[in-house]
Amino acid sequence: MDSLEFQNLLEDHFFTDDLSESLINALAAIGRKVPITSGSVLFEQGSRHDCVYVICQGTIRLEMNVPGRGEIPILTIGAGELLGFSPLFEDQVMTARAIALEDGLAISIDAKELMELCEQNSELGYRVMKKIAGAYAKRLVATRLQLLDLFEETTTYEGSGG
Amino acid sequence: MVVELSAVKSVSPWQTHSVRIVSVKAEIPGVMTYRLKFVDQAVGNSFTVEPGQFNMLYLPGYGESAISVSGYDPENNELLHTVRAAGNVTRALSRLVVGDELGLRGPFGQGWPMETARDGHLVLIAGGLGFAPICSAIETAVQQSSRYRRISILAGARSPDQLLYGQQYNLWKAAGAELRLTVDRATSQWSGNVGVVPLLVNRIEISDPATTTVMMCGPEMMMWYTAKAATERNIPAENIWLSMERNMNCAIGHCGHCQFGPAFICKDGPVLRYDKIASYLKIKGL
Amino acid sequence: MESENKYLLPKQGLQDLILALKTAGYLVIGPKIDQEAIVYDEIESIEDLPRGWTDLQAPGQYRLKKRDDDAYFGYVVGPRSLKQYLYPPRQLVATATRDGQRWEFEAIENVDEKYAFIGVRACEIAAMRVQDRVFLEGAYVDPLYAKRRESALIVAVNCTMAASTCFCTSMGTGPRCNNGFDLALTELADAFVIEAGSEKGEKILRDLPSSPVTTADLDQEQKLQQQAVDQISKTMNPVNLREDLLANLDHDRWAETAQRCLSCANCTMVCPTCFCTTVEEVSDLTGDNIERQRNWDSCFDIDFSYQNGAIVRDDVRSRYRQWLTHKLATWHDQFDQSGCVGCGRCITWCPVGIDLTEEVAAIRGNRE
Repeated sequence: MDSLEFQNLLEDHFFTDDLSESLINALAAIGRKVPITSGSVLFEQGSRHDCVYVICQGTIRLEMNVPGRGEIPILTIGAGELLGFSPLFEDQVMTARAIALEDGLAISIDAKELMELCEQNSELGYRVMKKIAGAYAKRLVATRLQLLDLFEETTTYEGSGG
Repeated sequence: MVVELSAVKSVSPWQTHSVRIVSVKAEIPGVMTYRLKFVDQAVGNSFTVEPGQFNMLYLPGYGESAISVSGYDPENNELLHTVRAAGNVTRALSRLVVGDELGLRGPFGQGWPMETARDGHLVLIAGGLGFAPICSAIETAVQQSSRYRRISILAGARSPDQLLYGQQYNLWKAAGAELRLTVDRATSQWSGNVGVVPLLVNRIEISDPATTTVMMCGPEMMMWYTAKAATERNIPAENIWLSMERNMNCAIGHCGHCQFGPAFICKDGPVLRYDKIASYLKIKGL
Repeated sequence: MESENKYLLPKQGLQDLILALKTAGYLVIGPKIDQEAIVYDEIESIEDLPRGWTDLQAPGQYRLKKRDDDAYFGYVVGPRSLKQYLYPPRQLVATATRDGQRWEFEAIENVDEKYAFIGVRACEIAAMRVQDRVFLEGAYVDPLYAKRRESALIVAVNCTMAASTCFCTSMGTGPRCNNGFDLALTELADAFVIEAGSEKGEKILRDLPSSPVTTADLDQEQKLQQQAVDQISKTMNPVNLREDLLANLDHDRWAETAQRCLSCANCTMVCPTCFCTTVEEVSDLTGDNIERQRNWDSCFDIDFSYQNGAIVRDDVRSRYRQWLTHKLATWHDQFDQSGCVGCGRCITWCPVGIDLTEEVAAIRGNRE
């Protein structure tokens, strides 16, 4: 992929801080720009998958199959967010199904190649891992807020004596 | 203005007015929207209310409940109040039918800064029953949509069946507003967004943060993270407004119940500017 | 010295004053011994006054003691203050009456009582002005407070002694009464020095059996008033107090004090400026006649911050912090002044003797 275009996409959607040109070039060499069509499945729950994504445009729904309840949407992912990073750390078996809700655009990076690049270039590896950790920390907080069930209504106090 | 103020002062703030239920609409299970009309037309004619203000609805023998105004029809002097039957007063209210009368004191408090937000991008964010006070801002904004560069509505609920005002969504969209809905717990039929409200803030385009105004109402914790998300998108804290809730008893700043740091929520709020209360939102048990 | 406004009133002249006030239609409220405390109550004559008694006050302590003399006002302040009358503990504010399928709503706009208060101290006048700001000078006026306040007549008494709990000099509210009264008295050994502070006061003073003051009388008055100043030992620096407290909302001291505080609400009841209330529905047996009764409430009451099925201030720490920071800090944001007048009642009447001036010092970090 053209490294300037790649750099712009990365900067707009993921790395807001500057990466040196050589690091961008290294990432661009293994990254691909992939259009996403509404309704397409990026990966299936339980399948092996080799790519990780940075969503640049459009929204993706993650859903998990619960026996007896069907496909339950658990999170919607949008521009600037990471998708499907399990292949980097796990056995490449996807924990959820990802389905595009609208037409969009993503950067896909081969997980194995990215890991190799990170191993070889510790500066890049640090930057990438820091970014991934930050994204996961954010998602963890959001999941905790979801768990808190903030909209659950309790009895309202009104007037005399409750 | 001075004349008006003194006219207000001459009437006891404890004077309750009779209103009649014109219609009742079931929104979601346990939540109704009441259309209320003043029994005394003269009282109705002198009544005005700003989006974001609230009234004290009074059921004699049960007490009063502070309920935000979710809509206002100045031509017919009719008020809309969306109420969850949860406490003493609202449960008694839920037993009333069209034609019944109840009491009303108001309006009270500071509403949404619809004028300040003019010409800019208006981002209206609602969570759960916090949709009710936001609804009055939405209705006002979409009726005067040329006053705003852009209107974005972000609303969240526990689950799809808990989202309020479903019948109005198409009207809002027809007026040019962007509408994004999210739920914490989806069903397989749900095609909208899943995830907490603060995440929605990242989904909208904000072309000029300096002229973007955010108005939000929902659980305090939701507002805290949503305001944080808005500031991370470079929207100045002075452009972020929160409708706060505390136990309001007198509604006129005399009873002390609704204090939140330096603010009386009933009098200085319920709509407060984020930069003025941000430091207090962090304090547990304030 | 403003001797031209001052006159000498013989001690028995106080009886003439009480009678004059009664004749003018006032309900006369003055100091009276009740349940071993000097409290404000309705008085009939000079005989009701706590002549020859004084009060000994310390954190968590209040005792009456015989004086060596026959002073009428030889005490400091008791548990009651003017708010008992101007903003009473129970007040009907509105009614709802069923009329067939309809309700008639009425707000109570009138009160009959016209009070004359005798023995009002400088800190109590300051406290009344603090409440004026809350009920008269904001966006909403309390019509009942307004009526009582407008018709009230204040006979102030300059303090000639202080309790160990007094700190009015720190708060700039006393001990001398400079304004806000209709008449002011300073009790000398054998007479009162009396001065008028308003036309209403002047009119009453004209008919009292007064005589000109001598320089000796004024010297004595000056000495006695200075005696009160000299006896004040407690201090609290009001400068930056608001900022110091609001910067320390997470201070460990709040939790420490919560170990002692019983959350009993005594401090809020005796505080002459605390104004929190709750309106309750009082129905007759038919349910057709409802009275909306406004009762004193307290931020120490656990239900006070109840909201949506939960209690916002669910521990003593947050409730004590609310009280103290409201009184001394956020009151400034709300009313451009402190909510504390330095009367020391909250210290005296605290069952465990929590002293707000010590709390402030601890939070400021200047523990002794």
